[in-house]
Amino acid sequence: MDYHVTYTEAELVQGLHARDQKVFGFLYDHYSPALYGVIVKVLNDHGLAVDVLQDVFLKIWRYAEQYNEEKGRLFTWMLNIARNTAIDVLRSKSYKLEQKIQNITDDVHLDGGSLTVYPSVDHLGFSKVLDKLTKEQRTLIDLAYYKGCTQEEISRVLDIPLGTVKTRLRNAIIQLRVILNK
Amino acid sequence: MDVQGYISSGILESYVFGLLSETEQREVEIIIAQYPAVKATVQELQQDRERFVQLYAMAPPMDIKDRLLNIIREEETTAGNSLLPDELRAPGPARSAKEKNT
Repeated sequence: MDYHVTYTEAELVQGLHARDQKVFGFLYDHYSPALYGVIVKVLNDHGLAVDVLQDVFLKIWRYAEQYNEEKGRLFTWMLNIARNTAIDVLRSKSYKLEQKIQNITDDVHLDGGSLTVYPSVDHLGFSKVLDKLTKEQRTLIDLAYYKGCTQEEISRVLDIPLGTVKTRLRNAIIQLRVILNK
Repeated sequence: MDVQGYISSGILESYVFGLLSETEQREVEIIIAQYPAVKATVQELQQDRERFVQLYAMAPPMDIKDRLLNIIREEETTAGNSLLPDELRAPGPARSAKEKNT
């Protein structure tokens, strides 16, 4: 990911701590499409996703002190905030597991049109990567990563033994990494 | 500890993709802090996850950035602070200190 155009990672962190609004603008410009994509994928609702995106950037701004570089890069931290905030909203809507699965098949990302591929991954291509996963692998990753289902919940709702869910999910992630690193 | 065995056990994939309970997460973080090879693997996994989520990137509506910039410009003032959701408001002492200045 090339985001060292104007700021180094350390400068971004310092800028956030110093409450530098230019740094905030830079982070927004560079990362809002990725974070918004995660939030939309979790909630499958653009209106709700816009509110959550705002909350997420305010959290990034206000909780910058809590970023711990030992645990990963700034982007990793931002992603975690986006995913966790969106999943909290999803839970508060108390969607049933069955609805979550339905939402996956209605995925707004798959209807073409509004999809904007982030420039830095243009060469990868959305479907080029995801087409190389089996439907089951995609479902497992979607439920676990984007819907925040536990492996126990996945086992129950897909009626697959827990051990099998664990193995298949792990294989799905490994497969995903192989594709991403080709 | 068998570091290679731990790395290939699959737990780090689960950690990075957020599939562990909070207790398990903390246990993994203790191991990460102790073993540089584990930490390096986690960093690779995190970068792969970053690339994965970029596949779903979408531009948000144009007006959000200005709205956010207005909020953060205003938030140092009492009025701006009160517009924030509860959990994002400045803590008591910092707020009263700022109020004195305004």
